[in-house]
Amino acid sequence: MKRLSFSLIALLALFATLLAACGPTPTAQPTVAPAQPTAAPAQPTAGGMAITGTVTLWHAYGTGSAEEKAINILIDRARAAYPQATINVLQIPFDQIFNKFNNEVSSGGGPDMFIAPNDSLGSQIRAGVLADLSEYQNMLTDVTPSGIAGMSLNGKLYGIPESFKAVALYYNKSKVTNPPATTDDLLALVKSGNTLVLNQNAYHNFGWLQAFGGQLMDANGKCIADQAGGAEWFAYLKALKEVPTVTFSTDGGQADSLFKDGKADMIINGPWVLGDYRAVLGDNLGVAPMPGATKPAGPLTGVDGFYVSINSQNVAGAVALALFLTSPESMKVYVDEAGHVPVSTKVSINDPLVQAFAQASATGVPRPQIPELDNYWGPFGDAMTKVLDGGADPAAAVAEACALMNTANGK
Amino acid sequence: MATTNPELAAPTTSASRSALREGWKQLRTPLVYLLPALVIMLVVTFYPLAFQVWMSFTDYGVIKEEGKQTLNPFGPGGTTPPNYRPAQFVGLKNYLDIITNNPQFVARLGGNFDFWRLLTFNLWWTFSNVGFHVALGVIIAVLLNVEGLWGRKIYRAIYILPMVLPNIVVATVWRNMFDDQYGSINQLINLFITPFGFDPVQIRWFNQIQDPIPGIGLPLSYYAMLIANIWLGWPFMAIVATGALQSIPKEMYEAASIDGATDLQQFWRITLPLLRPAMVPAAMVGIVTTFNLFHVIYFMSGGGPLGRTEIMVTQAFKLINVNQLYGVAAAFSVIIALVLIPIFLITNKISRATESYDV
Amino acid sequence: MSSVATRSRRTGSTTAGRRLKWWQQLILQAICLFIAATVLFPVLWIVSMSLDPRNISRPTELNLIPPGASLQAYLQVLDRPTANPVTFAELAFNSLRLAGGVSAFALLIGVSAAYAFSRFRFPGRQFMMIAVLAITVLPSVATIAPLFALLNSIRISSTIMSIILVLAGLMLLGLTIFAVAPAVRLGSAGPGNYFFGAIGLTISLGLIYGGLSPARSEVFVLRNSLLGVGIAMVSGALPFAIWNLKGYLDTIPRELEEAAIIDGASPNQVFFQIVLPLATPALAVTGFLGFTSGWTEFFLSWQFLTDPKDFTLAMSLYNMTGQYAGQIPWSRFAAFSILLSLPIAIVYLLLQRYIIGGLTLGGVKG
Repeated sequence: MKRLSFSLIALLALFATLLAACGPTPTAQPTVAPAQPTAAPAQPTAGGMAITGTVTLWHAYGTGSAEEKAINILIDRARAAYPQATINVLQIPFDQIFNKFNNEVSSGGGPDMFIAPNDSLGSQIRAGVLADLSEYQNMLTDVTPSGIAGMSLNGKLYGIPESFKAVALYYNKSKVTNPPATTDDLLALVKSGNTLVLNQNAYHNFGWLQAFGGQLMDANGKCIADQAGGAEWFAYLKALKEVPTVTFSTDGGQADSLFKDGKADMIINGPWVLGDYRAVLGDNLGVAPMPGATKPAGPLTGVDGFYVSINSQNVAGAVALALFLTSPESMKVYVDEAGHVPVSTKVSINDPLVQAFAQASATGVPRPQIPELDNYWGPFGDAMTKVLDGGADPAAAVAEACALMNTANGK
Repeated sequence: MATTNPELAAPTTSASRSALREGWKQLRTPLVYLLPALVIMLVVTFYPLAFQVWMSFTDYGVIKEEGKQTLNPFGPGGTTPPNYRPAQFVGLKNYLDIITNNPQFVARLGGNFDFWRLLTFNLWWTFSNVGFHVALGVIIAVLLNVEGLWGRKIYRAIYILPMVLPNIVVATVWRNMFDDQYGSINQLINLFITPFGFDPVQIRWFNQIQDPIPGIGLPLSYYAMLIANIWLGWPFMAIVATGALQSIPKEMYEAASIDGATDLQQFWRITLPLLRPAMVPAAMVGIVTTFNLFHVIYFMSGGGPLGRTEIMVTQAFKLINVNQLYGVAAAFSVIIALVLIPIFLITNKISRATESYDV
Repeated sequence: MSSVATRSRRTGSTTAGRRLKWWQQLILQAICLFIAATVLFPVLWIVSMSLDPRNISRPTELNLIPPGASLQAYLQVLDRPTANPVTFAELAFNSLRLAGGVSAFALLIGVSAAYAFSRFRFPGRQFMMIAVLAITVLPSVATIAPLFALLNSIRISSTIMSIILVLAGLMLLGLTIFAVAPAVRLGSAGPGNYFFGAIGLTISLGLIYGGLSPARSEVFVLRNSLLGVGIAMVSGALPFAIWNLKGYLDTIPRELEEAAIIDGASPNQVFFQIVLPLATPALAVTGFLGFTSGWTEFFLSWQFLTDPKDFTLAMSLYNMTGQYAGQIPWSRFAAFSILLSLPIAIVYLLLQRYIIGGLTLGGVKG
């Protein structure tokens, strides 16, 4: 496969070709441009590259969500700005996007690109489904280093970062005046009658592992959560579960509904639902950091980004679309509509709620980009179910989950 | 490489060859009629099945550890994709991983896989459902057959409703009905219990781990799905039973009445024995359908909690959809076939389905 | 089989000549009403939810008729059920093509094989029948791995594919005319012949239409197309159709055929001019059963397809349920479910008495 890189000169050449081609017939996109990856200077323009050819993008933004609204606005803009390009968009439910992408790309098909959190970046790279985008790294001049790091493994870039993701505590200001700062405060608050809904999974509650002094994996990818913090973490969840005003939900849509309906005063969730919550709660919506314990809480920090398939015949077009969608102008839409926390330093955040999430992202635990993380979700999610729904012993459940994770990883 | 399974391919070739020698005439006409279907089935049914058997002995699929895939040898412009390698023969490994619950294999699937539990649950799921379907179907058919009952036609029209709805819709609707926060089942229960001073309940139908009936290892989500599937399944049995009931001559009951038999005795001595020939094939159809009832399990519990309500077909789908382990999935499918064959043979024997037409 | 035989003898009740005492009537009515309530509860729930205009994400209380009931949810769903740029009509058209194409093709090919199995004795017959029947027991999920792998490796240029489709369509068209025309010319064609001819005509025109419509990409990957999903579905639908039709043909008395043979009719004439007309209800019912399973097929299409223009209704139903569809109000999910069920339910109710017999004859494929 031939990858094309564009420099400023290339860009000019391209525009020249386009202008020349803007005769009576719209021709196919120009395909030849001198590749000068090293000489590319900073590109202040939006996107920096022209979107060409056919680009297919998959996303997992829920139907009717603020995120979907944002991407629709942006795709419309991209289509208007680059009418000669064909941009196809497909929405896949979030629980299926990785499965479907991996399966499609492994069997020779799939989209040119997709946007998702870096949940399984390590294992996807290992499975060989993502294209190496290192040659475009110099175009990401206004991206914070942690944004780049979230899309990289072993010094290679595998995605164009879009936003940071980390969970924080949403609260309804009409019910909760002072958000709890510590886990004990939170427990006291729910015991005094305030309601809380928690997503029962290994992602949303991860932050409390660090709060209780724990760490998931050592440098070799071996699970060590059972050595410190893990048992306390699960014991705390169990203590919350025993309070009648706390609801644990395994259905994210259900948890969101409870919070939006006013049936729950607090919920721990990420910035991606900010737009949806605000549409219902308005000024009553507040965001506070996830409560800490002996240490501050360390929610898993993820980076959402655009990944390009190894099968893509139009890497340049896909990268151009990704750059367009992450340009400061586009990021403003993402921030305003959906509450995303941009990776771009060029976008100033005025919204205090988005700022709260920016803060959460900055202080969280960066998601380890190693394939071993892939085997964390199942065992720990199940361990949580065993403790919360089955009354299992927290320490034993964490130890079992760690052992299972290590078996799967061959540690 | 993939050759057609000799066992499966044999009937057409060897049969036609021997027939050529013995009497072409006997075979010629039926062969013309069979040919289109045979050719198509050889290509789209039997060849894939044979290919599946071959796949089950290989590591076909995505080999994450190596960053390789065996699925697609066609790169752009006639090249081979850099991550392609041909599938390798692994012998019985896939089968052994499955039936011995190899710890590493199980851990890679998330830790909840247990073949023998899966198989037991699948069988229990099947027989418990069909048992309820047949029993309820017969009882309701008899009930609706009582002479002088008002509104029988209306009831019959209502009772057929579950049958006419696609089961994918039934499953998704019941999934939402059992929602612990917003589902109508909990709302309905609360409607009845709150007036008596009880606190409203929020039964976690699909999450509760503790077994409602201890000692038999069936989670609450099984019961939720059982309720939904009973709703879905009994009307078919009731209709079959009604058809059979109407063919029982009234005279038999009259004679029994004269002989002093009670209604209950008539039910056991006349109704049930005469219903049997109709109910047995229907039950067999029910068993095969329920054993393979993908939609209800996948859309209701999704196999949860902790994979305890997974059945064979949903697991087979997940092996491909989630894990991209085509070789393992193929082995798993062969095992499904091996489990179904006895069921099939029994069906065949009882309903004598393949017997010749001209008795 | 007995249920079909008895269908004609709807003689009425068993416990003859008795009148129920008032308390018996009362108890039985109470039981019947209770059963009716359990049957109707989910149906009413979903119908009332679909009428809810409030756009609330999830219902918080039970009410038969929601405040301000309207058909708003239906309109929204008909316009665009999911985030993908396809309307309900496009989804329904895909489901229709897939389900209709598969069941029609299976009928077309299956009926002659069923006839052979039902009417001829030949070496290997028993074995072949067992092979066919065994396949109907296998769940189609259990063949997804090889079908995906095999269909995925069929990649040809879209131009060649178009030519193949057109040629196949023309060939099938010719065959259909060849098979149906003689009976029509002789004036002995019954509804079965016309039905058969209509199926052949529909499929062939569908193939030609598919061949002539513009290609979406340069390379045609059979797996990633409705045609590929259709082929994968035929894998299970054809044995089912053969088996179901054989069951029906077995119940058709042979006297007419024997008389025709004595009159010197060839087997072809017997098949086209006597058996097919008699088999019309069987064809309709088998076709409908195949159609139903195609209409609600989920896992093959979900695993195979990636272009939203190919998506089906059942795939969209999956998009509308579950925890990642939190922003879709349940009223819309309800409306979509009802619209998805309606065509099946209506035909089912119309063909009820034929279908019930068909279910026990053939076995059902999951």
